[in-house]
Amino acid sequence: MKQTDLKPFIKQFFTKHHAQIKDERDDLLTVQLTKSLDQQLMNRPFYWQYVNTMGFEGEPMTVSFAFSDQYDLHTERIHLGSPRLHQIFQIVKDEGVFATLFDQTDSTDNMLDPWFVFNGYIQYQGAWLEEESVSVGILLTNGTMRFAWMDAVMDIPFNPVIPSYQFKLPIIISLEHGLEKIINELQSRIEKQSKEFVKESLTLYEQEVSLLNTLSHEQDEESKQFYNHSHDQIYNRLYPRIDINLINAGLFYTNRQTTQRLTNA
Amino acid sequence: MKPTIKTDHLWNSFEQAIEGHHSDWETFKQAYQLSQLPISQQNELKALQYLPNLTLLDHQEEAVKKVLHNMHGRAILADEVGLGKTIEAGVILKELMIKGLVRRALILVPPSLLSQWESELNQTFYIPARAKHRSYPWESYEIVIASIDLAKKEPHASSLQEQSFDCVIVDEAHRLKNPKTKNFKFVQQLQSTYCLLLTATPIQNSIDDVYYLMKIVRPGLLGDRRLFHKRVNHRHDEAIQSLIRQSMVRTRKRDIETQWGERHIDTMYVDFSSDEQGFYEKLASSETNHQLTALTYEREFCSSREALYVSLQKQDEQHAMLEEIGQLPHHAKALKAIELIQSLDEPVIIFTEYKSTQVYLQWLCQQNNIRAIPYNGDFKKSKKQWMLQLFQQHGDVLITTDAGTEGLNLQYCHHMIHYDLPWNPMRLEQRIGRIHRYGQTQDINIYYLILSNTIEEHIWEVLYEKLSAFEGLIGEIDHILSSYGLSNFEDEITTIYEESRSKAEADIKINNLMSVIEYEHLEEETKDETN
Repeated sequence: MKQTDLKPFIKQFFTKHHAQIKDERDDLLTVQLTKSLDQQLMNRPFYWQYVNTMGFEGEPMTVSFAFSDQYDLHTERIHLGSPRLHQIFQIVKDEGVFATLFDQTDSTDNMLDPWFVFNGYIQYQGAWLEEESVSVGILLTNGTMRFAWMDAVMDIPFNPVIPSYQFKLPIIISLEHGLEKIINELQSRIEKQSKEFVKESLTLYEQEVSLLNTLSHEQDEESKQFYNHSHDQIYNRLYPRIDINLINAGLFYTNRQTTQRLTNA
Repeated sequence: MKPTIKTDHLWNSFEQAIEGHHSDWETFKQAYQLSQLPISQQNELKALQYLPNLTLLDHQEEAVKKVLHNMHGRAILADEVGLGKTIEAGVILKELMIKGLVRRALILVPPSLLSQWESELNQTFYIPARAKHRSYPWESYEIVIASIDLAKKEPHASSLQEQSFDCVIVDEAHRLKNPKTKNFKFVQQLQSTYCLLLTATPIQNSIDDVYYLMKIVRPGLLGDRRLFHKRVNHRHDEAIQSLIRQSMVRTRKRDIETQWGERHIDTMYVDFSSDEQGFYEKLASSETNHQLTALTYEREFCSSREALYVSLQKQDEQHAMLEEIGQLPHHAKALKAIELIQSLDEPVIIFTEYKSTQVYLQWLCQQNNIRAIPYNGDFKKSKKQWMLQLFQQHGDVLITTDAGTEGLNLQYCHHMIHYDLPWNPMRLEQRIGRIHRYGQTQDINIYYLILSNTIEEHIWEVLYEKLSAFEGLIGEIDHILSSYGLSNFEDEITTIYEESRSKAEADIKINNLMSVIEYEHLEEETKDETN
């Protein structure tokens, strides 16, 4: 995301959350928050508790966001580092963590195939740090798996409402089972491709521990504790560690054409 | 060997996700795309993308990468003063936080730097760090800044040692080099995955100093004490150096000097008007019970009539002089300053020691149609910001006292007037550091205004002329003094004047002090050369 993308993003976010845009200029956006946005963003729980106890309406704040250096004291500067932006990112990520959606492209057929989709990232920590993004869909009728699922469907219109005259094929593999299969597949892929990472990390780890061991003849209580702490610290940093993390997941229904496109490629 | 691949937390987040609210396609796509932001390749630095207002110098970026990628997050950052150790530490911490590897951090700093660290981490790095408040327990903080003097005391020390931190940062870490001190023992017992020790002088007296710092950062790297001493005794210096380099980054000013703009220094002598000179001499010869009081009055008058007036007013018996001050013309130095400002067609920063002078100068500027903005440490945070804003957008002059300017970045300014001289040359260096700092590529101009035939000229001669002969010396003064058990330069000078019966006696003592500093500095230089 670039600095120029931020204003459209912020505007879209607030419009979507029913906040009123009160003023808009090239590098400025003034927004009247809703009660719910105020509670999520402005960090004033005591005010809202007071308002609720007293039975008042409450007055959500109006905020001006500035997208360039030219700001004054009453605006909030928005750039890629600003905490406010990341707060909004987090709201979007939380809201978009799960979805059930239906393919809206025209189809000659009337059947919809169920996919379970897992988007996540794998984090490697040890001799080096690295993340790898993964997007996997599994067809819940027969277990067919497709990697880079999201990339393939970015332009397809999906909607939470099922199109008229279409019906869903029944789910044979449960969502949980689908996720399990995906995890197993990821694990075996990781094992194959992470050999070098694991080997290098273990070497480093053992090297550090042996350095530490040169101190181990110091036997008083303090030294022992120091040894243990140091050992933990080395383990935490260098012992090869691989985590699979969730970004979001969903149940997606696609029509036959889309399914075919997804399973062939 | 098979790696352990963790998935437990994955199931938790999946269960939470599936129970939650179901989103639309746009939001789902956005959430997916936003989560790609921190994803990085092997050894790629992500933090800079989150810090669009920060530009790292080459040596800083190199240091950050080395610490993160080669030293795996435990290191001694030992750049010389003014090269941005704090910046490097900030970027490293930010990177580890973006990666989710650091959630809890403890930052130990000297008490005088607490608020500077707090504002720098928050404003430059957007890291929500808070200084420890006495009513809240340590557990309630995620990123906490505290003075090491507080933290090492009970009950804090035990409480901190029971907790585990993801990252510990210690500023001015040369205070840990003595293994017998509480400082060292306390930090050694902290549990922390990542650890950064910041010091401009990792080796103060001998190579021994670095042994204990290294023991905290990378236990065992230098072997145990016996082995280390054996190596030192056998002059295996090179072997030791190369070991140290595995966990220490150090850049010197001379390695990067070319990137800095030059300092042009202009010392301007000003004469008092005859009325003022007459008054000054009367003031200097007047009876006071204290050498220091007389000196203080003289210094105040060298700044402005107002500064002296405010100070005399507090004493009852000085009424006669008060009357006389009222009769004096505009201060010769102030008029000179105005003339200087008018001759420069660019924003200027003026430093003064006295608030009353600040007010006077502001008034005088306004009389001359110069837009002057005041700034001082008493202003509230929002007012400070507002004043800086005003200055940057509309101001000709920022008139400020020393308080509250620590850590300010006024790089867009290239002129600075020292209206009065502080007794502590370190303060001078800090002032200049506001405009002559990391990445200042333009030349800067420094002006000293000095009243001839006054205490000011005298201080200039005894303190400053000598010091300015040694580049880089000023930054080390306090440091050199502390190895002699003296607290700081300013106190030392004050004490000398207090305890001396005549100016001549004081001069001799100051001269001696300067020689010590000079000697130590040269020693250090030669030590550095041989390293």
